[in-house]
Parts: sequence; structure tokens; C-alpha cells
Amino acid sequence: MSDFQINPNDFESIYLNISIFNKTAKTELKEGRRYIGFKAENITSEDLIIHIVELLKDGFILEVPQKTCSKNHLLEISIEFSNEDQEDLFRFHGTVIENAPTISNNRDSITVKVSPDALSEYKRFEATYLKRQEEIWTFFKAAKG
Amino acid sequence: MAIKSDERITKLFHGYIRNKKILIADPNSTSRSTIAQGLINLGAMQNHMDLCANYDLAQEEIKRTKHDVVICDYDLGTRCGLELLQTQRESVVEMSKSLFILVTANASQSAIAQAAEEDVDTYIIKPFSSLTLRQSILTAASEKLFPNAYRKKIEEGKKWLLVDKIELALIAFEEAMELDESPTLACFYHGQANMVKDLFELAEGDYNQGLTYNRIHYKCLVGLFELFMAKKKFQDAYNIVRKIARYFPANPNRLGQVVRLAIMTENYQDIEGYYQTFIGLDHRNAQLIRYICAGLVICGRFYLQKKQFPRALELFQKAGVTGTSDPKILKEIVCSLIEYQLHDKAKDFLKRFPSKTDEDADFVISQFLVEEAEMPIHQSIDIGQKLLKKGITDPALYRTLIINTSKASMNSACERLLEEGSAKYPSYKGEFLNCKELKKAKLQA
Repeated sequence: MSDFQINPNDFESIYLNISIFNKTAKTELKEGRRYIGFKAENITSEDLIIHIVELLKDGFILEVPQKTCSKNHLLEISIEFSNEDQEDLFRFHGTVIENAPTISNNRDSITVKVSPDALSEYKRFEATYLKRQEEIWTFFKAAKG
Repeated sequence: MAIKSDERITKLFHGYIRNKKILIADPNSTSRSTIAQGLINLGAMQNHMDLCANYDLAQEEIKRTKHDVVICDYDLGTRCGLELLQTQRESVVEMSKSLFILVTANASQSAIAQAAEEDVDTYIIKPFSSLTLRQSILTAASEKLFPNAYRKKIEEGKKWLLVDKIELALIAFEEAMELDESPTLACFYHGQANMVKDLFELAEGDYNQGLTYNRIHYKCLVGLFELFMAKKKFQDAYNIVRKIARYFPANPNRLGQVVRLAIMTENYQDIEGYYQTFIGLDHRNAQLIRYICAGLVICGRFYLQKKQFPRALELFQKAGVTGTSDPKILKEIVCSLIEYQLHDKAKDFLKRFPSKTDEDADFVISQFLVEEAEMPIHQSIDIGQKLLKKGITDPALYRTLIINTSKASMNSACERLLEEGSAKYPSYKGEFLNCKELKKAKLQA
């Protein structure tokens, strides 16, 4: 990319598509729908989006719809990641170590500890964000001087 | 980023944040709590914090409480969190002792560049770790609130600049240059001081010197752009503004400037690229839409001249759609197509006028231009002259009438139209004269 060409990709952000399979309860949250067993529950009014709120040393804090899981449940979390120059799929197993309601309606804040065998995969995911954060710091320093 | 979260900075920040009023604006409640906890861990007091879920509440709170530290998301519903920076600037007395931080899932380069351009203190992407949050806040705070000798010297120079002591300011900035390996900011302010003294060449040297240390330094690039505009060096200004738009692409006003300069410097082919950028913008104002449409029409005319008709038509289509059938834009398109004998295509654009009435002068002229080609020449002249009598005028109308009266050997009418049209549109005088002479030569041949 030359110094004089606006890059249309500059307007693209990072897109995450997160799904959670609760191995203990045999339920799944995927693409905005909740599955119980093999059947999709017909829910349209509920906010079924999953947010990653904080990256911890060995897991993360997620904001999820209520009734997604309880403490000690085993989860399988898949994250499809895409930005202008990278597409990736991250998959981890983990355990819910904390589940607290949020002040938002029908939402829980859960803390998931990633299983030791999935830790390297988790670190790879964390590094992807850290890399972008480093790029932003560098850009800020250069632009502001 | 150099980790500056050493004990000294942490202690200084602890002392700073303890009594500060803080606002956290984020639509996500868990995010608000996490950020709040991160700040409490750095010494902030919980009872000095306001947490808001949306833009309007945040704006009200800032106006009322005058928060020293504002942490907000870029995307706050339908509004952009960055707009709260202006509210904070209007509310807080000493911005040099305040912080404005964006914490957001928006990791697009355009949003980041816009934040840097607006002088946001730091930009943190979600999801973040507590370490990232801490490091980012401490680094931003240490640079702004606890400046090193280099920054202090620059501040000293800025104060001299403000009270018009230019020579003292220049000395301070020169001293600052000795205190840093990449003194881009000092070069910029040295350039500003030279600009005040009207020493344009020295200022240009200063900005360029700054850019040798840091080629995307926003202030130096803008300084250089303004200098070239002041000197009417439009090609140089265009080159600089294209570079600014490349690295800071999200500013709608800037894009308007780029398009305007592309037209002024006849870099028509670049306009298609800017149209792509325009499509990607979240916020487009009416002025930018006008610039883009005008740019697309001019670019289309450029391709008509090159006989690249499909390409020209594609650009006219885009202009028609982008301008949401703006009659002025449609008239320009129709006039251009008629000029190149593309009557059928002109007819298609005529159908797009929102109000097809006699009250819309742009429609009336466009309709006349499309239909007159199929009329007997005297009828065309008659209708055209009636339009002029009604006060409906346009260079394209004069052009057509001059050609037709010349064709019909109505010499005195032709001369009168030439005189009248040239008086009304002096910049078209040569073109009108050409129409007449060309027609005469053709007839003689």
C-alpha cells in the first residue's frame, strides 16, 4: 500500500463469532440461537449474544445470556476470528468458576478457567489481541509524536 | 510500548487519581464494572465515579460533574463516544490535567486514526487484560500528566507562543530538540512559530524535518498542508492531504478537501478511489456528499473526453445514487451526456428527477436539452428563448442556442446570445465563441 492510497480495509474491525457448548447441561449457544440437545429452542426475544469482557491469565470473563451455564459446568468455547488479514478458529475447553448476574436484564457474567491442555490455544488467542494493541500503541506514538 | 508502569509512575498516578472525578461510559454493564475495578486498583475512589450506559447520559453527567477522567466506548449506541471529548473540553478548565481514554471493541484503523487525530490519550481494544488496561492508562498518564524534560520545554515554548514572544518560543523549541532523539513535536512547534513570523520556507523545513523522524506525524502533515494551501501550491497540498487521508482516513471533512483538491489539480482518476473510501464512512455530511457527487460527475466527464463511455456512465450512475437524485447533479449529468451526443443515456437520467415540474429549473433545462435534438431547429430555438425570457438560464442552454441560431444562419440572434451568455457566464465565453465558429466553419465546409 503506497503512502497515497486510502486502504478500504482500514474501515474493517475485528469480528468474533463465539459459540458455547455446555458439555455438562448438553446445551449450546450458537449464531444467536440456543440449542437443547439437538433441538433449537425457538427464542427470538432474548439477547443471545456472547461478549468477551476481560482476558485473564488462564481464562476469561464472558457476558452471556442467563441459563447458559452454572458454576463448575464444563464448556467448549469456539471463537471464529476475522480481521482484514487474518481468519482463525480458536477452540478451548474450560470450567465455569464463577457465575454472577449482571445489572442488565437476563445476562450473566461468567468466569471461565481454560483447561491446562487448552492453555496454549488460549495464549495464541490472547496474543492476537495483544499484537493489535501493540500496533495501536505504536501508531498512536507515531501519529501524536 | 515501553512499560512505564514502574513504581514511581504508579505512585504519581495514585496521587493524581485519588481525588479525580471519573466517568465510565459503556453500553455493557460488565465492561463498566471491569474498567471501574481496574481504576480502583490504580487508586481511584469508587465514590468519585459515574457509570453510564449511553451517550446522552454520559454527556449530561460530564456537563454537570466536569469529570477529569473520561473513559468511554467508541460506539455508544447511535453516537460516537469520541464526541464526548468535545463535551469534556468545554466543561473542564485544564485539559492538560485531564485524561480521555477510549476502550472499545472497534479495532478498525480508521477509528484508531480518528482518535489519534483528536488527541485522545490512549486507545484500548476489548477484550483486554487487566495488565493491558493498567499499562495503557499509566503510560498515557505519565506522558501527559508527568512530562519529561523534553515535553516540559515544549510546553514552555507553547506558552511563549501564546503571548506572542516568538523569539523566546523558538529558543525553547530548539532547546527541546536537543532533549529527544526524535523531536518531531518540537519541530512542529518550531514550524508554527516560523509561520507566525511569515517565514514559510523555514516553517516548511521544520515540518519536513519533523517528518524525517516520524513520517506519519499528524500535526506536521497538517502544518505542511496548511502552509501549501496558504501559498496556493495546490499540487503539493494535494500530495500532502492524500497522505493524511491515507493514514487518517475517517475524517469526512478531510475527504471533502481531498476530492476538491483532486479536481483543482485535475487528478480526476483518483476520485474513484475516494468514492470507495466514502462508501466505508460511518458518518457522511451533506457537504461531503456534494463534493463526492461533483467529483464523480467531473471524473465521468473526464472519461467522456477520453471516449471511455461505459466507465463514464458507471461514475454518473454512482453520482446519481449517492446524490439521491439531487436535481443539480442530475442536470450536470444530462448536460454532459448531451454534449457527447449520448441522448438515450441522457433520457434515462431525465427519468430520475424527483419532481418533473416546470418549477424545477434544473429539470426544465435537462428536459429541453434531451428533447430539442429531436425537434425542428426553429422550434428548439423558440422554446430555448422562451426559457431565457422566463429567467431559466444555464451555460448548456446558451451553448445549444448559439449552435442552433448559428446553424439556422440567425446571425444577429446568435451574436446577441453570445454577448448575453458571455456576460452571464464569463468563464464560458471562449466555449461559446468556439461553438459559433465551429458551426460556421462546418457550414462553410
